[in-house]
Amino acid sequence: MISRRNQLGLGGIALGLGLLASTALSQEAPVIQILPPETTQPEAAPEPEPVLGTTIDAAPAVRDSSENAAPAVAKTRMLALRPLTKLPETVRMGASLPASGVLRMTGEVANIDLGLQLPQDIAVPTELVLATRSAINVLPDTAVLQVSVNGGNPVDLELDHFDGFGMLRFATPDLVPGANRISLSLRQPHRIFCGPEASFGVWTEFDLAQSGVQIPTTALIPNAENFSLAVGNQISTGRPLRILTDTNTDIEVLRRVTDSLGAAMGGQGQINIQSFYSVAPKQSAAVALIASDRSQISYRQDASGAITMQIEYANGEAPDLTNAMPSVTLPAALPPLLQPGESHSLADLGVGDIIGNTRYYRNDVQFRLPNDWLLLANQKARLDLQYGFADDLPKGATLLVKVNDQTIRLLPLDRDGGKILEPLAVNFGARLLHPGSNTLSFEMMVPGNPADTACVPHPTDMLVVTKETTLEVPRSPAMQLRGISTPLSNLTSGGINVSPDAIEHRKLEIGAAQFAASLLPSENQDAGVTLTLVDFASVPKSSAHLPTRALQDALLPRAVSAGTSTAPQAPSYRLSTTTDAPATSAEPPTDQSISGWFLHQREKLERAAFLNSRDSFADWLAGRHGDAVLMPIDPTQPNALWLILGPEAQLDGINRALTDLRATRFGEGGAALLSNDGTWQIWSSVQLPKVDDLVTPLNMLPVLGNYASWSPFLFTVVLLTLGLISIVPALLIVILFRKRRLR
Amino acid sequence: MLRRDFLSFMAASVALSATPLQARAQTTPDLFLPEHPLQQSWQLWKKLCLSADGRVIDGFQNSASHSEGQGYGLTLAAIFDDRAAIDLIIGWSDNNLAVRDDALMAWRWQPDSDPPIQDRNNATDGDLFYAWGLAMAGARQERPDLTDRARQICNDIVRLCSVPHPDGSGKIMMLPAAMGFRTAEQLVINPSYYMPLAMRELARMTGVAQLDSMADTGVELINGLAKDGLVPDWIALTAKGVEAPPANFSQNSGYEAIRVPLIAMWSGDGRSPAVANFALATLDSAKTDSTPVVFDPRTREVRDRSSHAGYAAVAALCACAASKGVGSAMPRFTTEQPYYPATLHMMALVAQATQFPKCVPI
Repeated sequence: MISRRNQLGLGGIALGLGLLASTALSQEAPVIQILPPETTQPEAAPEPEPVLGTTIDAAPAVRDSSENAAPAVAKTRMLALRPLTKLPETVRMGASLPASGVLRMTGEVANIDLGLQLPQDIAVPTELVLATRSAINVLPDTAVLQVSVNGGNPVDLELDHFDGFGMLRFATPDLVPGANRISLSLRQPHRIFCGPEASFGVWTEFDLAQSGVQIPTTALIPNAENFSLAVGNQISTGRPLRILTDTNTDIEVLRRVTDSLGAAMGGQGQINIQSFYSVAPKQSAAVALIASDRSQISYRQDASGAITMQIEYANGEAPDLTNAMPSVTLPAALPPLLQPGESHSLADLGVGDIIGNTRYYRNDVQFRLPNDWLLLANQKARLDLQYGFADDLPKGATLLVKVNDQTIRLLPLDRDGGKILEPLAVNFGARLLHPGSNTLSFEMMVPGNPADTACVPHPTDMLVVTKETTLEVPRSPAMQLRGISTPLSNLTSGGINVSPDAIEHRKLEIGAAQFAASLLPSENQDAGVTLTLVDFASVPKSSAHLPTRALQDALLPRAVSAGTSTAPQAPSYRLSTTTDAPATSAEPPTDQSISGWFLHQREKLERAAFLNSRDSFADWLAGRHGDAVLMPIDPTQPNALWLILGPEAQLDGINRALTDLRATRFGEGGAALLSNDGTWQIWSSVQLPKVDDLVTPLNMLPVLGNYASWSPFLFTVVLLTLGLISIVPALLIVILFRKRRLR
Repeated sequence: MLRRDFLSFMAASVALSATPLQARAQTTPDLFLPEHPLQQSWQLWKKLCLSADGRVIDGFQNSASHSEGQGYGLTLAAIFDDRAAIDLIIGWSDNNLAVRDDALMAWRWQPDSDPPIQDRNNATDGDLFYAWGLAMAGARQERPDLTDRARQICNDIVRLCSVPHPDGSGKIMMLPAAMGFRTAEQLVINPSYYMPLAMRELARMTGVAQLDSMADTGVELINGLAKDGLVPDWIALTAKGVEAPPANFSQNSGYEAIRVPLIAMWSGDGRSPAVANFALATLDSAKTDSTPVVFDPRTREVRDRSSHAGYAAVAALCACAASKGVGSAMPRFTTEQPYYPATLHMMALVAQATQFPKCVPI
C-alpha cells in the first residue's frame, strides 16, 4: 500500500462519467454512470511506459503499527481449581455445576472444598485468583467469601461483582507443591427477603477455568503428567476434552483414539470432536489427531499455552496409546454400593454430619443397590434417623425425608429443638428403591420470621443429621425386570457401533465414538451386548417386529397442518417419565353393543393386569414424539440394542441422556423414547420378572411377592387355578365315596 | 481443503489457460467447499472487514479502503467460492476505484475526504491480487468476462509497473506503482508486493508471460535479501545493487515485510530463507503474549510487537514450515483484531490448508 502526494489533478481524470439523458430516462433524474474499465483493450499492449521521476516522491502509508515497542510479557496460564466431589449439573442448594466450568454456590450459607494441583518443579505461586459473580439479590454489605488455603488463616473477600465475572485476588503463603485444598465459605444474605424462596435467590458463581493460580507457560512442561492433570481439571468441571481433527480422518483411527482416551478418563469425560479450523475459543487441553507420515505421540503447547497431546498417524494406523496418558484422577463417578440386609451409617456411605443453615436446604445422599436387587411387594426398609435442630426455629419449620423424591416422613422442626434427638425409626416401602442409583434426601424449609425483611443471622446451626444415621434395605432374591436396562448396563465401549446402512454414517460414527468414550465401566461387562446407532431411514426393514409407521410418526418432524383438524390434539403436558401419556378428555366413543361392552371390560381387565404397559409398542408410541428410540429390534435378541435416531436428533444431548439412563437403570422396559426435552419415556413389555437365584423356602415369599406385585391379576388367576386344581381330587373322592354309599 | 484439491485446481487453471475462453466449459474443482470448516473463518472475516456494499474497510486507518484490501478480499472470496462476495467486491471496486485511464485501480479511497480519492496512483500488489481473484473467479464460475478483466490488469501491470533493473542485468523488476518510485538512478521496491503464486498463475491463465519471469526475479531478489537477514519493508535498487530506501520509507523489516514469508509459504516455498529467518526472529512469540513484528533487518533487534492473532499465525506457520514440522501453534481466527492482521491470518490459514497440510493449527 503506497501513497503518492501531489498527483491529484483533474487533467488526468479517466473516470468515465457520462450523463445519460436518453429519452427513455427523460422523466428521471440524470444518472451518473461510472463506466467499468476499458474491456476492449487490445491484446498487444503499448510498450512499457512507467513514469520516470526526478525524485522518489512517494511515501509509504502508515501501516498497522498499533503499539509501541512494549517489552515482551511472558505468556501465562491458569492452573485451575477443581471440585473434589462429583457435583450435580442442575442448580441445587449448595454447590452445583449448572454450566460447563461454572460452579454455583446457592443459599445464604454455602461451603465447598476445591482442589488445586501444583506441579512439583515450579516456583510456588503466592497469589490466588477467583473469578466470581453474584446474584443481584445478595446483600453486598454483609456478604463475605472466606477462603482458606490448606487450613491456613482464612481470608475475607468482599463479593462485589454482580454484572459479570470479576477477579478477586489475594496473596497467600500457604500453597505447596502437589495437592492443595482451597476451602470456600460463603455468607450471602438476601438483601430483601427471608425464607425458603429467598434461599434460591442468592448465589455466587465461580468461573473455575479462570480461578486458580497464574504461572508462566514456560514453567508448565508439556508432558503426559501435566496433560493428564489438565484433562482432569477440565473433566471435573464439566468441560469436555476436545479432539481436533480433519473432517476426513479415518474413522477407525479416530475410534481407537477416543476409546483410549475414554478409558484413561474412566468413562467420566465427555469428548468433543472439532475441526482444526474451528473458531470456538480454545483455552484448554486438547488432542490433535493429525495425518502424517509417521505414527507418534508428543505433547506441546498450543497458541494459548494449553498442553496439547499431538497424535500423528500414518497409513490408517494410530500409535499405541495404552501408556500414553496416565489415568486421569477424578472424583468417584458411582455412589457407594449399599449391601442389602445390612445396616449402613451415613459415614459408611462417605457422608459426614449433614448441617443445614439455609432457609431452604436439601442434601442428597446417593447410594447404589445391586443390579439384581428387586422388591416390589410391601417389604420395609428402615432409616434410623439421628438428628437435631435449633431451638428457635419459627413455626412451620419442617424437615422432609425423601427416598427417590418420594416423601417418607415429615418432621416438625419448631418444637423440642436445641439438642440431638433420640434416634427415630422411619420405615418405608422398599419398593420405592430400585436397582442402581438411589437418593436419600433431607429437605428443610424454615419460614422467614418475618418473611419480608432480610434474615437476621442465625447464631446456631439450624439442622444436623448426624453421620451415625443408618439405613437398612432388606435383602431381595436375585431378580430383575426384563428390559433394556440390563443389557444397557452391561454394555462395553467395544459394543457400540453404527449400522453399515446408516445414511449419515460418519456423523453417527463420531457420535458412537463420543458415547463409547463416556461409558462408565460396569461391574458385569458383557462383550456380547451391542448398541447399534442407526438413522430412522436406514432401520433394517427385515424386522417384522418394528412398527415402522408408528416409529416414523414418533421420530420424524411433525408437519404443520394448514387446515383445521377435528382429531383430538395430543396433550401438551406429561406428568411422568415412565408411565403412559396422560389421558385426553376426548375419550373415543364407547361401543354400546354387548360385544363392545365385553371388549371394554377386557381392556379394563388388561389395564389392571400388569405392572407393565398393557399397550403394544406401536399403540404406546402413538401420539408420542421424540428424538430417538432405544430398543432391541428383534425381541429374540435382547442384548442387541438399537438406537434409532430421528432427523432432529442432536448426538451430544443423546449421549448425555443415554449415560444418565444407564446410570439410573430407569430403563426397566422394552423400549425407551427420548423426548425432545431430553427425558426418557419407557415402554414396558409384558415379560415375567427373571429370577437369577435358586428359589428356596427362604426366598420363596419375596419371589412370590414380586410376582404378585408385578401382576396381581395373573397371580390371582394362577392361585385360583391351583385352588381349583386342588379341589379336583377332593371332588373325585367325594363323588367316589358317595357312589359307593348309594350302592 | 487438501493440497491435492488445490493442485488440481491449479492444474485445471493451466489447462484452461491453454484453451480459448469460449471452450472453457469444464468445471474447476472445488477449493474450499461450503462445508469446509475454514468457511467459518471466512464468514468472520467478512463480518469484520467487508461492508454490505462490497467495500473492504480498514478500520484502523480511519475506515479507508485500498485496492490492496479489495484485491485481498476478492482473492479470498474466489478461493472460498463466495459468489455474492465476489460480485459485491467487484461492484464496489469498479464504481469507486476504477478511475484511471488504464485497467489499474486508484490505491486508496477515504470516506472522510472529498473526493474520496485524493491520489490516483495505483498499488501494484492490490492490482495483482485483484487480477488473481478475477481470474480464479472467472475460471471457477465460467465467467470469461472476469478473466478478460484480469488479463487487462496484468497487461497494464507489465506495461506501467515493470522496469529493468538499474544494474543493467536486464532483469525486469516490479514497481510498487506506476508513478513515484523510479528515477534515472534508482528504483524503490517493496519486496512484499511480489506474490509468486499469483503471478505465475496469472501468467498461465491470462497468457501474460512476463508475470512469470517477474515472479522468478522477485523470488531471486527476496532470497538474496534474506541471506543477509530479515527482508526489509522497502529497498532501493541502483546500478550498484541493493541499497537502503529513501529516508521517508521504513528502514525496518516490519508490517510490510511480514507478508514476504507468508507469501513465500502460500506459494509453496517453505524452504525460502525469508521463512526460516522470520521463524528464527519470532521464536520467542510462543512464550510471550505478543509477536515481534518490526525488526532491525540486520540485527533482528525487535522494535515493535503486536498482540494481534494474525501476526502470531504467520509466525507459527513459519516455524512449522521451516522445520517441516507437524502441527502448528497458529491461533484460531478471531475478529478481535483489525483488518490487516485479520487478513494476514486468513491468508496464513489458506496457505497452511493448501500448502502445508501437516501444519494444522493445534
